[in-house]
Amino acid sequence: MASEQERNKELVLKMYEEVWNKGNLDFIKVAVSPAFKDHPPTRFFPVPIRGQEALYEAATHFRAGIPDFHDEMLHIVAEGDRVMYLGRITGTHTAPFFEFPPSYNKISVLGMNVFRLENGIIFERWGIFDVMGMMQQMGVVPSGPR
Amino acid sequence: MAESQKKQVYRRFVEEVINKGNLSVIPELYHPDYLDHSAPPGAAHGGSVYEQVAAIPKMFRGAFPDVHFTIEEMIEDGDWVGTRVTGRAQHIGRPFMGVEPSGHKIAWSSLGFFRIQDGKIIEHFGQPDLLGLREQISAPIEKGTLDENRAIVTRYVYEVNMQNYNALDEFVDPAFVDHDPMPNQKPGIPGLKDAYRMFSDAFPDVWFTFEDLIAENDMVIGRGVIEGTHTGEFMGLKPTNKKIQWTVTRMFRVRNGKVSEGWINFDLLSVYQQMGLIPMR
Repeated sequence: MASEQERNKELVLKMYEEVWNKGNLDFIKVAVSPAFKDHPPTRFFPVPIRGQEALYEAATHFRAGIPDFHDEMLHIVAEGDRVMYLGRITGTHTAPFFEFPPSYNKISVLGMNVFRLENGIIFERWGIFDVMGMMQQMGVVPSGPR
Repeated sequence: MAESQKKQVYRRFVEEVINKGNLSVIPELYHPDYLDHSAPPGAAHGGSVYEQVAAIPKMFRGAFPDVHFTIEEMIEDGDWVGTRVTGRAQHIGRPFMGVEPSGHKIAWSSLGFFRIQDGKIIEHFGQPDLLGLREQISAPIEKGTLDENRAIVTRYVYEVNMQNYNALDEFVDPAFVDHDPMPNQKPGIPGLKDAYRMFSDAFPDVWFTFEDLIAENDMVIGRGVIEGTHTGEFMGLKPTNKKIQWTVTRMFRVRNGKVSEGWINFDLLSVYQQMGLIPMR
C-alpha cells in the first residue's frame, strides 16, 4: 500500500499528464476540488482563481496559444498534505495567447507549484513560473539582462 | 517535533545570509560542488561557490537593504527540500531590474528546490515572482501620501549617491534648513550641494544606504550606513586611503513634495578610529 504522499504525487503527475499535456480537461473534475483556491504568480492575463474553473481556463488558454504544450517533470517532492512540483514547460507559440499574437517562437521555461491535497484531491495551489522569461520568448516584452 | 537537519540548513540560509546579510556562513551551508540552475538576472555567473552564492544576497540587499524572507513552508522528501517564502522589503537602495529606487514597500513570493547532501546545499532551482516584484517597484506613487514622502527622500538620497547634485533642485525646498551644517556651510540648496561635494571629494566612491526608513506625518526618518574610500582631504585630514564605513541617523521634514529641513547624526568617532587618528578600543 503506497503512502499518502506517494498517492498524492501520483495524482499530481497524472493531472499534469492528462490536463496539461493531453488536454483532457475532464480530468480536472477528478483531480481538483470545486473549492480549489489558486495563488498564481503575477501575470499579464486574467483567469479565475477559485474553483475548478481556474485550472480549466488556464489550461485552455495555454494549450490554445501553445498547441504542443508540454510540461516535463524535473523533480517532485511530498510531505504531509503537500506536493511540490518542478517542471519545464516547452512548446511553440503558434496561435494567439490571450491578447498576444503568435510569435512562432519556441518556449522553454521552468515552473514550480506547491499543491495542498485533501483526501487525494487538490484543494490549493501556490505557483510561480518564469512568466517574464516566457513573455520575452514570445516577444511580448523586450529581453532584459538575464 | 524538532526540525530536520536539512530544513535547518535552509532556515539558516534564509535567516543568516538573506535576512542578516551574514555571508560568512556560506561555506558552512554550501557544498563545494554547488550547482545553481537559476541565478536571478544580474547575478554573477562563474566564480567560486562563495562568490556565486554571495552575489545573490549582495544584489538583493543592495537594492532592498531591509529585505526579510519569511519561510511559509518547507517540503522535505529524500535529498530535496521544496521551499515557499514571502520576501518583504522597501526599495530604498540601488536600482533593481533597471528600476530606480522609489521607496516602494513590496512583498513577493518565491519558490525553491534545494538538494542537500552532507548537511550542505549542493543544488538549487529558484523561481521568484520577478514580474510581481518589478510591477510593485515600478508602480506610480500616490500624491500626498506617506509613500510619496518616503519616495522623495529615497530619490534625494539616491541622486546624492549618484553625485547628481543638480537633481537636488527638484527635491529640495529653496528655503531648506540644515540643522547639522558643516562649518561655514552656506544656507539653502547651494550650501547642501557644497556639503555633499566635500564628502565626495574626500570619499569619491561614497555611498549611503538606508537600512530602515520610516515616514510619519511630515517626517521621514532613517538609519543607515555610509561607506567610502578616504582618498581626498576630509575636514583638514590628509587621505588615509582606507575603506571606511560608519553608521548614520537622518531625519527629514517633507512639505509640499520638497525636503524642507534635514538633520544628520553620524559616528564621527568611528570615522576617526578607522582613519587611525584615535586608537580603537
